[in-house]
Amino acid sequence: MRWSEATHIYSYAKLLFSRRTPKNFTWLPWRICGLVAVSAILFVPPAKAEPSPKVCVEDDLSRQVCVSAFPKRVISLAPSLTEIVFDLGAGHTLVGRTARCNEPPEVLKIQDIGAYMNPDLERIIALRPDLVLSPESGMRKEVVDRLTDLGIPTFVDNSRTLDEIVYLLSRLGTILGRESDAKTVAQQFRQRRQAVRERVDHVSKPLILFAVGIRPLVLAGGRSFIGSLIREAGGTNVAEDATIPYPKFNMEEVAKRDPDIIIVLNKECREDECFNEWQKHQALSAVRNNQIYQLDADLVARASARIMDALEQLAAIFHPKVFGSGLSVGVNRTK
Amino acid sequence: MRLSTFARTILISISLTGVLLVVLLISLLTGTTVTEVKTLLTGSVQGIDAQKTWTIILSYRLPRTLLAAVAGAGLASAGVVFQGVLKNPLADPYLIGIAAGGSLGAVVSISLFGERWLLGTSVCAFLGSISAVGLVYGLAVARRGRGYVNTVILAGVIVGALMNAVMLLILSLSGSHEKQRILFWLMGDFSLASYQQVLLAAVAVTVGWTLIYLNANRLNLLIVGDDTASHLGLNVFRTRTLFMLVAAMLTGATVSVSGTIGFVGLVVPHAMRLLFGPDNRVLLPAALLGGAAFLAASDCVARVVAYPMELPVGVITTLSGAPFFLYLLVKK
Amino acid sequence: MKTALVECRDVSFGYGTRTVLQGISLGIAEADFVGVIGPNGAGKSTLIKVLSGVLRPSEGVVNLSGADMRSLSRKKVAAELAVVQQEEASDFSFTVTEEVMMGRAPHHGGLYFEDHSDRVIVQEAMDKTRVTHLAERRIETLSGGERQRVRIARALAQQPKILFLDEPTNHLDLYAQLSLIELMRNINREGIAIFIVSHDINFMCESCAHLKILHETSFYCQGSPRDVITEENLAHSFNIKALVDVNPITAAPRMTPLARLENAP
Repeated sequence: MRWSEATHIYSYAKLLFSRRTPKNFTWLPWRICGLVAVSAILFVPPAKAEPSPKVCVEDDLSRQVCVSAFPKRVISLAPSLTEIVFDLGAGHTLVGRTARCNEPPEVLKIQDIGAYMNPDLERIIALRPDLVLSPESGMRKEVVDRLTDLGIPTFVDNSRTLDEIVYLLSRLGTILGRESDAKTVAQQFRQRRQAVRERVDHVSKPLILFAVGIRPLVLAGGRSFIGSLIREAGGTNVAEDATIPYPKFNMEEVAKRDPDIIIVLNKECREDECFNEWQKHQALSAVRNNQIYQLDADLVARASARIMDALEQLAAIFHPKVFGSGLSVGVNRTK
Repeated sequence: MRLSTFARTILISISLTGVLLVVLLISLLTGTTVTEVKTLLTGSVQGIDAQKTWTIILSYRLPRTLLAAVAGAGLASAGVVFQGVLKNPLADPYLIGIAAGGSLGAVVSISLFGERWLLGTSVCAFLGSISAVGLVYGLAVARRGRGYVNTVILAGVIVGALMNAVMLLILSLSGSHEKQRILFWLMGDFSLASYQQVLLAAVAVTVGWTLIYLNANRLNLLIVGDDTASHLGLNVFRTRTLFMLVAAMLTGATVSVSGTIGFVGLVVPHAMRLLFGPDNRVLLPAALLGGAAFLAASDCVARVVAYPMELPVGVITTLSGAPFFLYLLVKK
Repeated sequence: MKTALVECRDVSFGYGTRTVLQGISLGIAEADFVGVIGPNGAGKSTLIKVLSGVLRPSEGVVNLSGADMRSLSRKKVAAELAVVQQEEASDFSFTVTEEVMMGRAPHHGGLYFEDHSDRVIVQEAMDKTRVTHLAERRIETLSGGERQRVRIARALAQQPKILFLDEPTNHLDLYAQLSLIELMRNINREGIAIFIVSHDINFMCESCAHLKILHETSFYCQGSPRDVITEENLAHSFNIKALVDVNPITAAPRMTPLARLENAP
């Protein structure tokens, strides 16, 4: 029997009989199913053992994550990480993804392991992953701890800036055995970023309001990922001074600061609902000048390689004169 | 010679109206600099800036302050009625499942329509509150006879728990963005009040409160005891139904525009009772005005403390209300 | 013959399948002073509720001043008939004046502020029941006897033609009992009919002009205290062996319980 299989059986058994079983694992029938599964695995004929070298990288919890080179059964617990795995050309190694993952289209063929931020631990373990990629924010620490306890290498990502995404690309390239792909992607990433930076560098920066929630008004603050995108795309954030990433913001202060451009996410509103909602605020120049844009939420919310598309879209919205109509921009609805 | 109840009612109403006006004025001017106020008062128009200040006060600060005041008035009045009908000075308008019903309605609306149908949150919250009370009251009527108060409270707790469970179920299945919206809704929010909301809530509170006040003496009889009230000429069943339904509508209307703001409906009536006695002829106007002043002040604090970020107003009412309430309990 | 204020014929009442009252007939006229005695569970409190219209009889009719009680609103009933019942617990404490003023409710609508005539009536009721000095005290600070006098004052403020009292001697000391008898006599002298139910036989003998014994859902016997309070009747209805003699001062019958009887005769 292969070592990795033995580990999995051990992990499964440990989960089955552990006292610290997760909430969704207290049901007796599941335990019985689990036992049956364990016995089934025990009868799988062992493959020939091939000693493979270990590869280690540091994740964003400053832990060393080591895998045998190279993982063939990867599970991603975030849409952004799923996209990156595909960007690195390692999509075929993915055996599990969240229900939220929808890009690229072929991802839908991969088995889903539960809701984003609320994965089903049992399904993860049943897939016998040799690497799990997890986001830090939104994921309960217990899930990561449990996976680690079971001996499953778990890489935790907490990228919040474009630089951190580049760093993430290189580390995932290393651990997935896709270093050259990672270099290429990172290179393109840098080039596109540089191109945007050069063009917006010397033009005046418009004041941007980026609403992630409308009622109540929740903005992307200076400390959020979206906040860093706004800076990068040559805009000034209305909520730059907020001390938390996504603050509930005072509408009076918005009126006082009077943004030039308002950006809303497409998930928030059906058809023209958001535009109509903003029409109530005629005191704002952005509303009077019809500068309300709608952006794809999946695009800006995911720290994947596609974030460059988002950056370019934002830059084009902020500086239409500089970018002309050369780039596809977010939908701008008129009254 | 002791003042007559009528004179006391007038006197207390006038002084609390004064308090309310001061609170409203402070709230309206908070966040505006002294120079701006001077500019406004002297009318020396400095072009765009003065106009901007006016716009901010008129289109943002005034409606939210008014909505907070109206909601506070509604919650506190409903609190007086529920405390009377349930014969418990510590009863809360949310005790009998109204908050849970309203929350469930709002959560259903948020997860079904998101922000695509913003008014839907209010509509569904109102329907949720009313159906929770309908269910509770239906159970109490079905068990007509003795133990009415206990039936209402128990049924309320159970219906509330049931609705909370459904709400948590939906919550656990919804995305992070919906979760955030639901959370804000549960903590109460006036930040984007519109005059339309103010008008709707004000009509509901005025009609509801007037109906209740026209029966103030009957509420007095009811809190002395069912049998006594009956012997003093009250149709207990009919009166109680009227009070329950009107107070539920009042709470439901308030919850639908403001979210579930705790402690106003409990602390304000209780504090007013300690100050002015249990006579509902005095207490109802006092709670109306006191509740308005309390919630308007709380909203002002929620707006100012972490400026330009906003705190949930429900947190402010509870943080200020709970210690005050404990003090009253200990002192008493 | 005087016209009956409260009158009932062949009235029965039961909770569910349990019959509590059966075939009850009585009439109470102006200035009558009627008492009903009976052991615990004989249906005395239920009788008061049926006669005051709070409970509807399953059979028979109760008339108030000649009108069927069922056709009268609670308010109309309360304007003629006041009930002093046992205390109901309340967490809300009104002042004595406020409490007595509630007796004016049957004469007003849902919202009213007392006028001069209300104040005069309330003052009179408080004077009669000697609670004027307690006017500004809160109910919860009073003694049992004082609270009962407040309840009687509230009943008097209703300006009733007939006053019902349910177990008025409960929790009263002897001083309070004696003042209660005196108070009830004064009230009765003004023409207000009084109807008391109690299990306190000696108290009832001293106060009532006419007594009835309620035994197992119906009246067992009735008449003047001297006719009703006999050793045989007490043995039959209360299941006790008692010595009955005469109070040498008031000439009312006086009962001394001696032993309980194992089996009713």
